[in-house]
Amino acid sequence: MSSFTSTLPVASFLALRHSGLDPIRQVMGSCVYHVGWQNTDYPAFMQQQGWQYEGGWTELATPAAAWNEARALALERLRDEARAAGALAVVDVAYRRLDYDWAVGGIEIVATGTAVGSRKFALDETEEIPLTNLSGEDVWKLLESGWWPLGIVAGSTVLYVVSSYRTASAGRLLTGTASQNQELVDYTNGLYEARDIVLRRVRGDARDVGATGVIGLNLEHRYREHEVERNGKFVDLIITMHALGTGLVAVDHGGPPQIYYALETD
Amino acid sequence: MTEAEYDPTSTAGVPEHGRERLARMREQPRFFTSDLTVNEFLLIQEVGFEPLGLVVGSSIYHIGLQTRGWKQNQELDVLTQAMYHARELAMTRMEEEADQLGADGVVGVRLEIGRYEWGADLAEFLAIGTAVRHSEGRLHRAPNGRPFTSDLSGQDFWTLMTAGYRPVGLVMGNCVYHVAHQGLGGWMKQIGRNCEMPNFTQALYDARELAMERMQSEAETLEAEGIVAVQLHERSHGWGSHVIEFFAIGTAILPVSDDHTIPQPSLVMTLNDPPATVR
Repeated sequence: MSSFTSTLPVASFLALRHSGLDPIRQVMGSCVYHVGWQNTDYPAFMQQQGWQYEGGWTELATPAAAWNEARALALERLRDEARAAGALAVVDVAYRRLDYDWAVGGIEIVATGTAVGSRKFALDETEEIPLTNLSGEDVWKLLESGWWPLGIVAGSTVLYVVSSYRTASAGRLLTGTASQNQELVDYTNGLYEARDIVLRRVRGDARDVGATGVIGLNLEHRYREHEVERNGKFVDLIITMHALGTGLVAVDHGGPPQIYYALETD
Repeated sequence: MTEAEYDPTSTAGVPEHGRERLARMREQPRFFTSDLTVNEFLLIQEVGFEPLGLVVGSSIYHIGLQTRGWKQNQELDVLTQAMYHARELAMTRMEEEADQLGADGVVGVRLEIGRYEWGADLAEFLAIGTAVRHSEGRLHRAPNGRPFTSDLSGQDFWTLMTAGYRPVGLVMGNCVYHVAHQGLGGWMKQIGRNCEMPNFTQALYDARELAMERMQSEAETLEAEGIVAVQLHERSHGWGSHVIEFFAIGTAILPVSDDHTIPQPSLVMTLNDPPATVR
């Protein structure tokens, strides 16, 4: 057997070996993607439709698709490298989203992990190579307890939230309602909508790989303000949200590994 | 600081799209999403619960105008109420989502506050956790009919349950306080001397007491036996110096049996690096 390379810490490496998985080599998939032009003049568009000063939201299709495409490409390349290495799965996948000053309008997705083969398990021909961001120890615990990780499930969205007259009024002290405590309902609703979209994509992904559950789901979002003039100052929001987790399926009914109360020495 | 009326069947605070997502999650009862780690996931099942789904409550809130006296130690009630009310909104919405899934409670709750440069008077409140249900249908709700909430990790939840207790709810109290500026006279008197600054001691003492007292009274309303894992946060949330929020939060618990002994702990020397986490 030839030598292997891996990103795994010692304990992870041994845990995987113990569960019948042998590291083959480090694999990577990456994609730098240019985000195309997107019209953000939605309020004008909505006003033509008879919209007044209520809040609202709409997904910005171009950047949203860019994030989703870039992720799919990077993960597919990771899987390609793993397939070329004759792997059964990729574990310990570190997934990163980057953007660079020098690549204007560009985003990068990089995923690195360790391809593992097995003496014990095999995929049938129709099965995709599962990718997981779980560590070797975590994979071992899941296998021991009768769960099999099926792959990274994820979703991204970019949402434009139009602020209402009420929200604008909360920003004005003398002519508005800035002195009162109040919820900014349209922002809250926009956030809910963004979450709904990404979680729907996560569920779609999970369904595609045949998972019955998702663990380790990580939700991230950030805001960009967008000041607009519509008979006064309105602050609209652009919400970028990402969700990423690991899909699981129950293959067996095991119990968890031994549990004990520990007084640790470090 | 009265507790809002809670109707377990209400989804009033959950926006339409939150409701749609929950309806879909009910249609596929075997499918769940969660932000649990592997350890938490396995331990929660070990103690007889199944994860139902990630539940979230959020509120983006505009904080009103607050006046303050430069030389006064005082509670800033507009700020206190804003911070409490927005958290309550987020928590209640999360509970309502859990209710819609038919959950007994929510574990691993995180309560986060985001402040942004673009909105000086604005704060984002987020409550997020995993809804769970007892797999044999034994009801574990709080005495008031709400799903229980707890910020304990899956590991702590397992330990608490096996030791004969159960969580009944997250309890919290807060107080935003303005610490008086010291006058010139006071400053002159203490030049070069070691001495207590009684004015400041008093202010911080007061504010902490108020926050903790409010948390305790919430636990009493829940008829809890006690509160575990209390955290006391002190943050300025961008209000500048002299204005501090004291925020106390913990999990109120009730005994389910009289036997609270745990197995003999074993001394272990772990060969692992600090615990592996999901990245």
